Amino acid sequence: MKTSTLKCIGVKCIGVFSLLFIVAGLQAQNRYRVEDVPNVQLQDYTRYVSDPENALDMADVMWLDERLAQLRDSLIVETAIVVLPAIDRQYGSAKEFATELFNSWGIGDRESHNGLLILLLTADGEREIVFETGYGTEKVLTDGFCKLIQVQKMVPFLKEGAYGEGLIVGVEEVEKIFNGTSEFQVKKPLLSNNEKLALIWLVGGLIIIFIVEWIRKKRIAGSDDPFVKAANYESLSGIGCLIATLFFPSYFLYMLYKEFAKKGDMPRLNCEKCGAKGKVVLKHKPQVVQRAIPGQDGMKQYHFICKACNHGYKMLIPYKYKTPQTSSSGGGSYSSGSSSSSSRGGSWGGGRSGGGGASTKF
Amino acid sequence: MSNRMVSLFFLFLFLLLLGAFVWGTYNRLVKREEAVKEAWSQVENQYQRRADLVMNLVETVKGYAEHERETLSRVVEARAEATRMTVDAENLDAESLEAFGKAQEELSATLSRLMMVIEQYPDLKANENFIMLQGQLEGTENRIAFERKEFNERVNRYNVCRRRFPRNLVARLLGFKRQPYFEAGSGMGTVPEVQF
Repeated sequence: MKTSTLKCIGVKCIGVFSLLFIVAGLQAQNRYRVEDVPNVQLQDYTRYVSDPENALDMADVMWLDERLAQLRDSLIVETAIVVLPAIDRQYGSAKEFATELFNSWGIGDRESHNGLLILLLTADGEREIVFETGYGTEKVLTDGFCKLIQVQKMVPFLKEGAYGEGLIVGVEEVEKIFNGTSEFQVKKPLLSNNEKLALIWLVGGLIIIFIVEWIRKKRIAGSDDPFVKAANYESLSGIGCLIATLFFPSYFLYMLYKEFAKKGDMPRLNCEKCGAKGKVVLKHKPQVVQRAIPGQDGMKQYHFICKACNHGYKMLIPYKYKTPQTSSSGGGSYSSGSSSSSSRGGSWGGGRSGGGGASTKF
Repeated sequence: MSNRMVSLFFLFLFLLLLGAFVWGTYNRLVKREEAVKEAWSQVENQYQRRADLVMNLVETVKGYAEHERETLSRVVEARAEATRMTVDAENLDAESLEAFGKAQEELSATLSRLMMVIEQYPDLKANENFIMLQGQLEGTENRIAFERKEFNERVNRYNVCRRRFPRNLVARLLGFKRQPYFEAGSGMGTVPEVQF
């Protein structure tokens, strides 16, 4: 009885002492040098995770081992994961340690240098996640991607002490980078939706302006008389105004283009009397002298004036009757001031058709 | 007669051995010198890469940190100064190495100041572009450190080879000079690492 209790105490003492020794040993081993890290791959070819202090769950280690074996078999990248509390103070940085460890183990294929070392330090004040890439690996998994994966994917887990999860998402993301499917690699669309709309507005406006100008040109081409040309050109200024207001940036661009290309706004008119070139302009808005009624064209008077000698020209040009849009305005196709604020001064209602037909010079 | 023949023969043998020794030493020194030059070009490459990245970094930061114009322009100036400075690999003397190191260190100092300032801009710090650039910059700093170590190791090998007796006599005769080491400050040093 007595001896057995003594024995028991002795066993306990030995147990406590051995425990103390183990703890002391661990303390001494806390700061690792490159040669202290157990090279698990040499011991067992199915293992890729070196975790001497068991900071990870067994399940996570098994998952990682399996995944990294697959990665290696597919010849993409040969990865080693090392989880340590801290490194020896002889190393300038964890990165330096990782470089040395990487090269001393020779991670990766001899030819393609497709190695990757993921080093995780877990001691308080030492916490760090390091990726060390081989010469081949770094071409795909650049330093920038490494940093992004660490900051955006892994650190949120590692911060919580979820080392296993952190490493798993890290490995998954690395795999994605090599498959070209990582969100980090997906190029963002060049333009946002708003920018697209603005672009459509600008380009669409330009197209419409050019169409209107083309119609104007066509009209002008219908007649040889410069005055008729000018009058016909002017008769579309209403729609021009509307378009200019709706698509003012495009219109501005168009004006710049015209200025640059030295394209005349209106056909240039020469004065018959004094011979000044291009000085004849429209004096005021065309006036209706005879209203158009259904079945019969009306007449509009265009009053041109020479800016050089004040010589005036008057011209009557027929216009077609247009069915009124609203029932209230009885028959009148002349609606005033809808866009009078514009400098182009079209008082015509928008979107008028016609103007071909007969023209009369006077 | 035969005595003279023997002494002549030994003189000839001695000259032959001496010639072989000089030849071998010369080749060895040239090889080591070439290795040093090659290592130096790697060092310069990495510094060049850093200078390129700095420009990208400045562009990215500009969009976020309007108020830091002064810090930014200081970085740009230091970068310009550092890129202007090149060291001819054929002529790696102590003064030019020191001047080069000094210019690079100046850039490092302005960079770390910029990184400190950036701490106040959470939007910028969360920007993917910025994180990638930061990663690449840090990576380049590591590579610089690595290449510099390699360079200094090769310089050491060359110097030891050059200084040992009796090679030192040959080296002096053939004009192989002592190669200075490249001792710059350790890169960006105070770059805030990502803490977690």
